Amino acid sequence: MLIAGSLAWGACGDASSAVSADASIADDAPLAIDGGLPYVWDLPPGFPEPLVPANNPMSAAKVELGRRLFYETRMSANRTYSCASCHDQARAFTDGLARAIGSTGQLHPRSSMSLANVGYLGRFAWGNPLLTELETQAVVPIFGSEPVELGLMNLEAELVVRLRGEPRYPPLFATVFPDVTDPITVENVVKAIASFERVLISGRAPFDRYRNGDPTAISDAAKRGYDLFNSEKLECFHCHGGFNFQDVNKYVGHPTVEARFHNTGLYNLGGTGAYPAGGEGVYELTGIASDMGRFRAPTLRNIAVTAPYFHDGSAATLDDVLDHYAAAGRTIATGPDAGNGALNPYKDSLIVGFTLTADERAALHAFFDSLTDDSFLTDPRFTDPWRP
Amino acid sequence: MATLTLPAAAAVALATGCAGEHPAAIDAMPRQVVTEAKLIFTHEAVEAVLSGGPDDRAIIRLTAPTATLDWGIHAHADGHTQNVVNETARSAVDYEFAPPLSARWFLRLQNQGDAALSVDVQIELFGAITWDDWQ
Repeated sequence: MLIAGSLAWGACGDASSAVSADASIADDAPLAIDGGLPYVWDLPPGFPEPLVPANNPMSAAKVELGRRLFYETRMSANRTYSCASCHDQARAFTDGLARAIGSTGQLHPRSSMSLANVGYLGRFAWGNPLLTELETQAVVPIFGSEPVELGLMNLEAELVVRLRGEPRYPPLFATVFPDVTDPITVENVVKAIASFERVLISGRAPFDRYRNGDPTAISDAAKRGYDLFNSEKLECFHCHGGFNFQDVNKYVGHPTVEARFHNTGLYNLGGTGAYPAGGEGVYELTGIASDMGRFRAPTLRNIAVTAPYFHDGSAATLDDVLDHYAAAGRTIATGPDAGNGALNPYKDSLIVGFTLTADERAALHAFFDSLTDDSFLTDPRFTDPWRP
Repeated sequence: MATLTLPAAAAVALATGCAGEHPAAIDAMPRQVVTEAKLIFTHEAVEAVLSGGPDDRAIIRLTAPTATLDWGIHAHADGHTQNVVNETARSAVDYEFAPPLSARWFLRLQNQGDAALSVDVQIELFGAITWDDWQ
């Protein structure tokens, strides 16, 4: 059960953003979807094609079904939460909370991660090297119990009954999965949601236009910030580089990736290198000391709208993040988490600290802002289909 | 990225044949050859790691369509950065890297041009030095 337990740390939350309950499904919601058409990727310039598992081929119809399920509150045991409750499009599919809150009110150990470009990831969740496929990850928030997210553990049959009971779902599933007599299954639910998540591609920010040859797309300050990002002084690009501004991507032509996780010196309890219990990263799975505090580097795309930051949301602002790295780690003076993270023995060797002038800090903010993809945050293909 | 690895017996013969006054002689066949066309966007920096020491050698060949490639090799040891080589505005590089000490050596490439740059990278590895891909 170690793996099952570990899979459960995906993080969702935010009851305040819970979307439509059963009764709110509008009669005039655009439910008609085309079946049988191959999916045509709408990739930003320079983006590779995401990998798709052979047993879950993409189709436009499946993506649309996945979108409806993503926003479906029948997907939670108490019918109050959907995937979107913790993954709000306007926040690049994060929730604005330091740590997610599940459908039953349970506070999670992790912050909700952005779903932008999740289809390119080689690893999922914050600190789980075992989660390598979207279809596997999608099971976690639905059926996981440690912590409870959507809360459907042991309610697989109930979920199927619920979806069969909504008159609009049987024909949708039949359209998407035409070769089976009983297409409403947990497996097909997961496949559809994963297919929708796979098309949540963000790559049309001002920075992308600059990268693709328009020197006027971003400000001179943003260009200076990008140079700092790529500098030996800051070394940001090591963990946040490439087209996706993170370090574990896979795609067509690049199917395998090394699992990379990093201890950034956020904590150093008692000078032992320890992180707070429940927030120890890969160590929680392996028990290997050097895995203490190691987490996946999240994408920097849309980073200006995904506060708070770090796996536990313990940095409220991007300035807090910069201060952390400038100090080569965070010092907590008092309390149970007291310690000098800069001296964490398991810290990544590239985090050595730096100084920033006010102009340099402003330049970095300009660069971060240039990564905000407004078209992604408002793309009608990704909005709640149940809302009129 | 493509790599060519010689049979283990050949690698052993190479290592033993080169022991003594000459570390990892480069007139023998390389133990491994890494070839890759690396696309680097405007002002983007990328770094790969070569892990090795004084007994090792690497031949680094870089070819770019325009002379906008900055490149260099450095290591971070004991909190300091040790630079072995840094060159700017190059379109071709043919360099024999002899690590002065055992370390993780970063091969850094940066495109200083205003357009994306496809750099043909060929790294020949001699001795025990390893290529740890782009970091």
